[in-house]
Amino acid sequence: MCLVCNDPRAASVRDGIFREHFWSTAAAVLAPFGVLFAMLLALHLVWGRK
Amino acid sequence: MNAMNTKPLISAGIVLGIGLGGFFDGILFHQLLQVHNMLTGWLPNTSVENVEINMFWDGLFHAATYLTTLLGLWQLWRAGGRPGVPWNGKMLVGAMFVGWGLFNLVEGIVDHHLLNIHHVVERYGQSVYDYLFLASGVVFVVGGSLAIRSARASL
Repeated sequence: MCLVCNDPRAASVRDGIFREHFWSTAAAVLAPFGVLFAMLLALHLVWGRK
Repeated sequence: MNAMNTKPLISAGIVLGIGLGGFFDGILFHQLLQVHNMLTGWLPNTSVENVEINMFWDGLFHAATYLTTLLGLWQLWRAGGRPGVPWNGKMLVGAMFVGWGLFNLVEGIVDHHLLNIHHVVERYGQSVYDYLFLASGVVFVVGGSLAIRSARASL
């Protein structure tokens, strides 16, 4: 059982985080960087390359 | 007005500020003060297993700040070699504060308020410290922007 998401397929918290939910957890941890770089890309496109 | 191209220097400063702001957060809050780790909103540090898991995700966060800082350094290197780009410390530091403020704003909104993966002082949950963190972001963006504007005027 994963205590984070109550997923019964996961044998433990570690199993839940590192196997069942690795990519979703990584996406959560890296989400601020994704938002920031999307903002900077948008600014770059609006502001111009020069 | 002048014909100097300030955008490469400002862009490098903002990216450097995001990376160094991330390092500041990780080093001060995660390691020195130990008031939160990456996933303590989901997994409080109440067991060695949880501490180990949080340490792994802290590492991923620091890897992202490291790559962001490298990108900013590369941009700064390129800006330094381009003709017409001013080499102005006040503008660079102002842009770095804008980047740091953007980091605090976005990381605060996404991690502390939307995803709740951690809070600034985890034992209080969502607290005034989360809002002070956002306020610091606003202050840094406004202060950095004013510094950039002042530096531009003096070119």
